Amino acid sequence: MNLTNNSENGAAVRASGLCKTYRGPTGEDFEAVRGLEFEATYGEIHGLLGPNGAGKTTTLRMLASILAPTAGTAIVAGADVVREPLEVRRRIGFLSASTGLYARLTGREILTYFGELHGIPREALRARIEELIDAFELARFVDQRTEGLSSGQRQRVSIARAVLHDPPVLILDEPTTGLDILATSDMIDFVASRRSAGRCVLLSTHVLSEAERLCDRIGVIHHGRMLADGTLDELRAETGREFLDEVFRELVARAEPPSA
Amino acid sequence: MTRAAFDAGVRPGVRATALLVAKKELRSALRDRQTLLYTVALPLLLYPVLFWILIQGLTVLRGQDAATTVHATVSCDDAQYERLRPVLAIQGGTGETAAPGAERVEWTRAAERLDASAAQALLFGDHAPDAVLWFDADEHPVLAYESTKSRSVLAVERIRKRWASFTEELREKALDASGTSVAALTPFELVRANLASEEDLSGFFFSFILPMTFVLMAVMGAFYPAVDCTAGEKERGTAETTLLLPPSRVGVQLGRILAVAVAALVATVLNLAGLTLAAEPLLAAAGKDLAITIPWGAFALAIPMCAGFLVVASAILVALASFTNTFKQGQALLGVVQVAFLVPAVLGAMPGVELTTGLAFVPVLQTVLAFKAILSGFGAEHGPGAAQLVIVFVTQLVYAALATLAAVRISSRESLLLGGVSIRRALALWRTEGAPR
Repeated sequence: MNLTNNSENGAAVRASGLCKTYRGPTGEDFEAVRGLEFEATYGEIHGLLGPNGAGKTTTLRMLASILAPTAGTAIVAGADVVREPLEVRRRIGFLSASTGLYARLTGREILTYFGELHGIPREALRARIEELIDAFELARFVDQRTEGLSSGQRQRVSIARAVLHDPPVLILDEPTTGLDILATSDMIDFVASRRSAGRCVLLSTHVLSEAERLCDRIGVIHHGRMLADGTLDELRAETGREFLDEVFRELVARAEPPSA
Repeated sequence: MTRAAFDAGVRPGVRATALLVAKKELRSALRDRQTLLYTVALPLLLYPVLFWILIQGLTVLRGQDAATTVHATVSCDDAQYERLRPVLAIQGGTGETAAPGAERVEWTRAAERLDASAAQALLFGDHAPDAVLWFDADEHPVLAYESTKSRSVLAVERIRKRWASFTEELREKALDASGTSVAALTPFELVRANLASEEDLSGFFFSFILPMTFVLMAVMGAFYPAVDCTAGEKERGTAETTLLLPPSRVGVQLGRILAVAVAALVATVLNLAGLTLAAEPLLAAAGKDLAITIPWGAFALAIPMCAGFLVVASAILVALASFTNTFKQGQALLGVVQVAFLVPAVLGAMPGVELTTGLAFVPVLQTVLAFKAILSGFGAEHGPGAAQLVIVFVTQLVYAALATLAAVRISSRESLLLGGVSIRRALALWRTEGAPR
């Protein structure tokens, strides 16, 4: 099965009217995501840019089938997140600051565990793990429990875990949060390498320089709504602003006109 | 290496997923010191250590008692005093005297005759003796002591022992003098013959202790693994990682319950082994001449029922621990739940509470009573009926299935998976969240 050619119009991710409403402790509803529509294609890094609480994480969790949408749906790597959540999870790699590693297992045990649950044949799994150990230079610590690893080492094991099954779509939720300079640089190189490999990378961030440097297309989210979606040049043209921070401010200002 | 190679594999179904998750959870849990302590070390060592401490304590106390000299005061006239010399093991004058080799009682003779109030005043006064022997108006000897003081109790024991031996000697002499004997006065001496086998006695002994212990140990053994794989996972920031596992969450949650049940089983087996090994020296120390025979047959009969209970307990603990966000919260909540298991366990262990058709349906209590009945003699004339045991076994299966189903549904709620909510809140969200994904 060639997953990269399996989606309609070649879109790796297509969100249609995606909504998520949480019910608060006192019974009131909170709309975290309101009718989100966007597309991302293979060989592209698509950024979701927005301040904290904009709805980026909720959107990515719905796309990863961790959360069920309240309304709308999305097709990810050819699978529907509402009707085929298991298939979605098989076709994506997901990484965020909150996807920790099992502290009492070694890196190799974690990779084996995920590989077995993905149903990767034993020999293929063994070879793939060795391949990832080489690719991400894990050899020195892959047999140590992850609780004793540095944050950079843990990050590398996490990346290996996310790409273990060679997913056509990679979803990264603020992947550089909490990383030092070197680990951040490694992460940026890794994301760029996935684009080169023809994969689709969906990336949420509130670091403007990261988005500017990496993303082919950027979607600006605010209060759960997509304010704009396009290449950086398209966004510049739409807002008449040069720098991304100015573009972002202009879009937010248009969405929330000052009260009289 | 490409996806095509990976896609050639067989994706694990619910059962295979549950086994893989259970294996990982157990591996992780058994690398945690706290879980190891409560699941392996404590169950195995609890009874031997407790019993060793008890036996050592008893030995020390007995040694201390033997080395203790107690003080007593006797109030009587000269004639009574002379008669009392042998019974009190008084050798010399009125001062501190005791027979060689006797458990020591140092006697002091009161300067004047005491009545009840004077004896009481002496016993509770300054420099009080441990016991006071005085004669009432009818010249009956009265031994006054204070039962809240261990030395006073010890004094009474020693004096009574000596007194009984002395009166027996007097009786024999009197009978000899009258030309008769003790044997003539007791023509039919009743000899007791206990025909219960060692196995029966062991079963009787174990039926009091094991069922209650089993329930408590199963719950204690499941406690930490249940908190560890739910609240502990959220606390360690791996809840979202687990949600990314490709198989159905039903399989993942079943795996967790299975892991908790296996941990509980290990804790229970080790605990029962520890208890069985410690029972013989304990009984010997307590002076019971009972050779322990492990009732393997009864154990084998109880296994299916015990397995059912382990699943019920594990599912309940996992489901409830899912409502918490941190280890501390989990421990606090399951601590209360443990008490809920403790009450029927203790109730079932009480003498006289037996397995009836009605009680065979009561969760937890049914397990204790059925286990107790099996140990004390299944198939015996007054033993448990097969029908009642079948009811227990079948209802255990039903309860285990229901508890597992509820646990899977509860712990698969997305509101609980990414952060605990109150039980009330989770119930309110029940309808708004879909089935496990």
